[in-house]
Amino acid sequence: MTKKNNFLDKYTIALIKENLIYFILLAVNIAILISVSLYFRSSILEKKENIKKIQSEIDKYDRVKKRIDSMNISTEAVDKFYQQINMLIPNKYNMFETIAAIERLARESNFATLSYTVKPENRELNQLEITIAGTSSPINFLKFLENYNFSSGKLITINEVTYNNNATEVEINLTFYAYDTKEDNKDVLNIELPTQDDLNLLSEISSKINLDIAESSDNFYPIKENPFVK
Amino acid sequence: MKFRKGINFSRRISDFEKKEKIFSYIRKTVIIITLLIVLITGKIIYDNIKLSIDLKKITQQRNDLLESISQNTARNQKLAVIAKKIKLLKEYLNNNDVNFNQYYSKVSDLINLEQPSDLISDENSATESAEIATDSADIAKKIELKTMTLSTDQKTTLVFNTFNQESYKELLELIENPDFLDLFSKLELKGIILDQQEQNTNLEINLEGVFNKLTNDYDKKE
Repeated sequence: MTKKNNFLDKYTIALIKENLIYFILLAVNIAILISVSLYFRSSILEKKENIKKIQSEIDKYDRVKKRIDSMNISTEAVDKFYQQINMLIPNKYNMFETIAAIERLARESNFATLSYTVKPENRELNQLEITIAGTSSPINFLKFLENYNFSSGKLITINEVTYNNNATEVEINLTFYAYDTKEDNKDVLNIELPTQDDLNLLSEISSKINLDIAESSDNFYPIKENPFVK
Repeated sequence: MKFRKGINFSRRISDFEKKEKIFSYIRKTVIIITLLIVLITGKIIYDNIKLSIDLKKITQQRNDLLESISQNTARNQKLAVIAKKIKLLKEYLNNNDVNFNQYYSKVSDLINLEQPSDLISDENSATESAEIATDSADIAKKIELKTMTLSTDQKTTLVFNTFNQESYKELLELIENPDFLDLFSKLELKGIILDQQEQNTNLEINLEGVFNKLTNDYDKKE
């Protein structure tokens, strides 16, 4: 029995030796598979993740591009709208412009201004409040209340109104606005674009203002370069 | 005896054949597994290369898109300023403004208010005043809005003035009209003042309340 086993073992060992190359090949292949899998797994996952991320960026940029392309508006028109909106809500206050706007509003609604009181500017809310006192007939005051929002060329709001059918002396708080969009527009990909309704609204507002846009910003109020020249 | 204890050759041969067969299967299996491993490894390497190429392509696509968007940066930034400021404009008009005229017009339409005469003399107003003065009977019937206050939270006080019993009754009817009452979320009668002078009788009605917020033109466009 022992002899038989010895004989079989020897033969088996001989067969194993004979086929050793196959076993080595199998082991080497398994090792290669494991190392290749481990080596490329993280690389493949990372690349897939990157592709997914870039694809979502492309989708976003594509939407931005489509929106920009759909804005079928000439550069000249954009410049005009830009000037108009910056006239209504400038980037920062200019007291001379503001006073000129009040004068203009007063002139257009026959409001005889007696005094202005400028309250400290509320920078947080981008607001400048000016109280004006003056005389106006009730009918002119109604006319003033009809037109004050835009007719001065600046956006003006009033938070409280007391209308008196008999009074001629009126005191009213006007609020002017300024807003600097510099910080908002740093990232060109996250910008918001105006809708057609927005542009129509701006056109409608501009049509109510009898102010030549060319006069806006720097030349909004009359200036004299040389005070000695008439 | 020797023969009996001798080697059983036919059994040994069958054992050899069995083992040979088993090892033959093992060899074939190893070859198949090797082929499979080669295929799997090849697939992994191919996928990796393909992903690298895809990544390169998609990065290029993104860069091209970015470049085309950035071409008109100045124009786009102007459009963004317009969008932002129009949004603010609507917000300021909706939240910070009384929109007096809108409420006044509604009240005026429903109450048939006499329009104020222009006290500052100009040509038109003088003519209008003269016309009004000549038709005193007509004036007597009219209702006047003496004062109206309004704040951004739509709180209001209204003082109507009438000049005789007839117009006073008319005003009461108009005030009780659902169309007028629907303008307010709250309305209280604060007082009635009778001021009887030698020739004229003035009847004042004081109302205090809160208007229902009217949708203004800028809301509609949002």
